[in-house]
Amino acid sequence: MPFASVLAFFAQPRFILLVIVGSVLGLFVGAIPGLSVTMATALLVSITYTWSTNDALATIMGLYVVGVFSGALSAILINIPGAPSSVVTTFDGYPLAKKGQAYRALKYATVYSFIGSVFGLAALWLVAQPVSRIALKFQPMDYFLLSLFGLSAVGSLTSRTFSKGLVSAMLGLCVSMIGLDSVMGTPRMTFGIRDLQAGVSTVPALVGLFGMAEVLSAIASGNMEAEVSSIPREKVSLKEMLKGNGLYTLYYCLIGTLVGALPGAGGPVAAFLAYSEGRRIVRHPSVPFGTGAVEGIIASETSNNACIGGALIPMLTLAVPGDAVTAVILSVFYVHGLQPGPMFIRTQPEMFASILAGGFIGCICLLVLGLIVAPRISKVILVPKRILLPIVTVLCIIGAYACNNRLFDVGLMFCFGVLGFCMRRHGYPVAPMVLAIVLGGIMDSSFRRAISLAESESDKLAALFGRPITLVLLSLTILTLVMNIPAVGRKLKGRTSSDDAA
Amino acid sequence: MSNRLKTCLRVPAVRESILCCILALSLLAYALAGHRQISLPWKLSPYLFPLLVSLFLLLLSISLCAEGVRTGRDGGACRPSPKTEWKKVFATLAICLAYYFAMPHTGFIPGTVVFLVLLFLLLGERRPLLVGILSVSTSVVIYYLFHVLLHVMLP
Repeated sequence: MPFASVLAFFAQPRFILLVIVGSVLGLFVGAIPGLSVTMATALLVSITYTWSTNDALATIMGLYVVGVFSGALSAILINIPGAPSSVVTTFDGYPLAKKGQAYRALKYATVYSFIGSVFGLAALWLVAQPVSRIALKFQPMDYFLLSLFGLSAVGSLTSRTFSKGLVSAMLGLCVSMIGLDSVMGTPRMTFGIRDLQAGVSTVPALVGLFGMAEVLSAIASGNMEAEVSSIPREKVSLKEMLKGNGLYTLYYCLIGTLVGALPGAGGPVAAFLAYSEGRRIVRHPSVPFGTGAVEGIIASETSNNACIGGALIPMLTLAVPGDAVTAVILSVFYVHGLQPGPMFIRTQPEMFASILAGGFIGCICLLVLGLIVAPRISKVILVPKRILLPIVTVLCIIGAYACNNRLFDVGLMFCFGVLGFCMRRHGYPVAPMVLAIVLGGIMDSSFRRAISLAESESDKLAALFGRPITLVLLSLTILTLVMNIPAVGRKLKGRTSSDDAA
Repeated sequence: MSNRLKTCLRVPAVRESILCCILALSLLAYALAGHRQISLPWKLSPYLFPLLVSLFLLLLSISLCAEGVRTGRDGGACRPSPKTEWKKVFATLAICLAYYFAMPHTGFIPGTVVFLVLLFLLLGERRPLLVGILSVSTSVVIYYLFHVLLHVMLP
């Protein structure tokens, strides 16, 4: 793909304008809890139906790139992630905002989202074929183990008590089982309620567990004043932001791109894995992770935005969407008569260039909009809670309703809100539950497919766990689980302290 | 009931582990009963995954109980809980429920205006003009942005 053909789109005012329109829409939609980028992209499909393919792709790419980033805005400012992939950003973004450094948190999120997005798109441009070949090597058991590893990692990250993190994840898996089973079509745990047959959508669960639970927790605490009384003017230089984070950023970008290329895994898994790796490899974070470390925001935002390019790789080269948004983009391709697949990049180079150009211009929009908007919207944290909370509640209700246009989902959102509130009060993190709801379906179907496939082999154990990828994932999962068993932890701690004493 | 058991039950983690155990056993019973009703091998059964989750949950409940007992032994059960405004929490939930049931009948804007006024007052905003302006403007702006501009369906 020649550089010039991508650059040519940078000279087309109409193309740039449409990317900007999509970006502004993405900023708005992504930042509001419940309004997902997937939903907005689906809406755009109907609007752009009669447009030329280039115009449609320009708008959609702008929306996609900026929409994924803007989930971080509400995550940082009000502790309510705009999308599941921004859940991890709340771990450090919100504590930093509560310290009066919302602007710093937003600026880090903007710059590293930009870096992640550019890296993912560059990977799409340069190494689409090899990455898709790696993604193809993943078998059902690998998907199951990758998801299990994600859940065990997040369980250990989000709670002081590992068991509580895992209980939260197991509750999420229970919720994900509600509805028609994906393999045989049998209704499970619907208890005769017809509305539950379609399953529990991620949006009401996410909005309830984070948004409504946050509202109830704030009301229960009785403090109705603003989270901080003033935001000190501080200068956050680009040099300061980038210093010492180069290699880590590259690592998070690789995690994001590779996980994004795995169909179904997507931003939430990438962000959780990158955060978990960040905690392991960053020796001296600015403050401990989970208390407002910018290194946590860097890990989360870099990886979930690198997923954009990653998710487009299997969609363009194999016609297999990497996440929900690329599934909708795939439908745009079919509507406009395009055929993604192994030959797409060779046979449709101008469309590939249009996607890349739309993505890169979207990245510039992300940076500009983020830097313009950050200092202004960081003032949200100064609004007293007695004013902010009722408005947030209405947005939660609209978000829950809008995902399926069902009042039933609003009821579900309230139920999850009460559950999230109770969980928080008893020290159970809600993030593992959200991740489990997102991944439960894949885990269930992958596990059963893996078992069925192994059944026909003579050596069943080798068929299940005999491959290198499977072995690595299995070892990582077991290691995470074992290391977090309290007795093992105490033993290791004892050994470390005796070594120190010696 | 022995004193030791009473002390254990005072630890929140122990009570939570009992709840977790009940949930795990219910899920296990559901999976086994559900599987018996269908004529499929376990490898294809839709109840295989619920069975696995229930077993894992059972193990976790044991781990949680052990942690609770250890906490109780170290005297962690006597930690005072933070002050909670239960009345306001229940009142908020009641207003939300009323809004939920009234919405299909009142329509979005009138229902939301009343809902916002009630919540603002409940949470302690006492300036009537500000409450009025915020309630009406928020409802109208949300309606315009979502319904008119974005074509998002509203309740």
